[in-house]
Amino acid sequence: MIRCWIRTATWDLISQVWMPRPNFIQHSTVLPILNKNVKQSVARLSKCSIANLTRIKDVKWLAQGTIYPDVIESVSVKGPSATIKSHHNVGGLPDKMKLKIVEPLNTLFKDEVRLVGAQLNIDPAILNRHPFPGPGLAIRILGEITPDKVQIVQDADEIFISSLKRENLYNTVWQAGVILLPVQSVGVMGDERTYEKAVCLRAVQSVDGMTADWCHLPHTFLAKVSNDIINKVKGINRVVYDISSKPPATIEWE
Amino acid sequence: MHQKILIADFGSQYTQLIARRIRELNVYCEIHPFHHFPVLTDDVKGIILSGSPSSVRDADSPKFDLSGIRGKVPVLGVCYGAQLMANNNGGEVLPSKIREYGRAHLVTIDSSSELFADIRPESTVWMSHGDTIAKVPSNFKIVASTPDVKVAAYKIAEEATYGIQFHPEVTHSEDGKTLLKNFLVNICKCRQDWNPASFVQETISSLKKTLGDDQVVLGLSGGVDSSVAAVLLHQAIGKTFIAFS
Repeated sequence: MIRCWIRTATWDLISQVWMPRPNFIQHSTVLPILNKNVKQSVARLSKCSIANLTRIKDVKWLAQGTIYPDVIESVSVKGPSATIKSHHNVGGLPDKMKLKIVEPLNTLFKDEVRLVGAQLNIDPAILNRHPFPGPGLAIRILGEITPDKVQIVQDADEIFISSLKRENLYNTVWQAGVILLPVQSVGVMGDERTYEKAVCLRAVQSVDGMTADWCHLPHTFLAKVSNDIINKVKGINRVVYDISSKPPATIEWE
Repeated sequence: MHQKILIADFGSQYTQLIARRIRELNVYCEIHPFHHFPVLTDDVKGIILSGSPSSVRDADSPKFDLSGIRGKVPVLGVCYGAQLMANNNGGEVLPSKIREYGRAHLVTIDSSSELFADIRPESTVWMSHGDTIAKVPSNFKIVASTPDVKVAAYKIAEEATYGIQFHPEVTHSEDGKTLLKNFLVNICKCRQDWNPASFVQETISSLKKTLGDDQVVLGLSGGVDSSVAAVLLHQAIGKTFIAFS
């Protein structure tokens, strides 16, 4: 559903300055931008998706939305402070992809990116979106990444985010998302026992992403989201909420 | 290339704030680690040396060769940066008797100093240092002091090189932004013409030059950064650009 959102919303909102129709690759919300842990899966998914698109056979460059703090974090005085976590937006590609990298925003801070976006007449609905991980929802899937799992995360994320918007909580939260955990647990649905996956809801407050605290979202809201996810997303029978701050935890799980 | 200020980063927690303040003044700047500092080019209008958690008295403290920059472009040393220049030129940097953290007031200001133009006497400045400059070399002129810190600011004779002990980039320094503006505009002669419109224009023209007729793909996560990058690339190279999500 998030994929659909991107397709329609990006369309409606950016299409006035965009091509008639960009080429969409169904299952690669994931990008070939490297987090060590998801490197293999992402590269594989992208490779097979790209192969399906003859139009981009001769592609020479991969563009990335890397911004300045990502760059600074990677070359700090006392060694890479980003050793906390490999940064999604900085790093090379697998050698055999042979793509050069272009990063038009790598000198800008986040709020400067928003100002440039406004200069380009991009809709505020996009400019005020929560930060979104560079590799897409792939880093919210712990363990092996498969199209089915991507679908689960997309569907659960759509429920969580649209609920935040509906309840006017979206703009009070700095970043929110759903993480698919690599565990299965027992449940009861109807008269049947189930043995299905669990997702974790994550919502944080922050100014700049460097430190963050978990959001004290209303219990009634969390109950409703939990119910919706379990009822509507096939393969999920348990929803948990992350109550860790950064530090010592991080915002994303990978 | 747009004219710019370079910031040599010695690891201060405030280095990024210096960059933020400079950009708020519509001047483009870049942060570079002190040990990978670029060679000067014509577009560099001035250099700022950041603070540091280290002490110049430590054997393993960050070292920086100033011979390539001093006298060529204006230089502003902040805290560690100021101590480093004093120390390297025969001055004396010692542990402060009173470690000074927090607010202080400038009591004497050399009003003829270009760096301190329009800065009020008694102006509050933010201090955060364990070392202090006890003695400056003879060609260093003290241009501001606080009750506890005699060398709160100095200028080196015959060159546009300055050192300040306090942190103008922190909002608690009341006239900090004025001081930075004085450095950028009066001393470095920066034009203050870096803004979203100029960024868009310059980026599009440089993308056109770099990418030519090559095919470019972008993974569009739908987030702010990739959306803005997508629109920029589309405006730059049009049909050879493909975004996918």
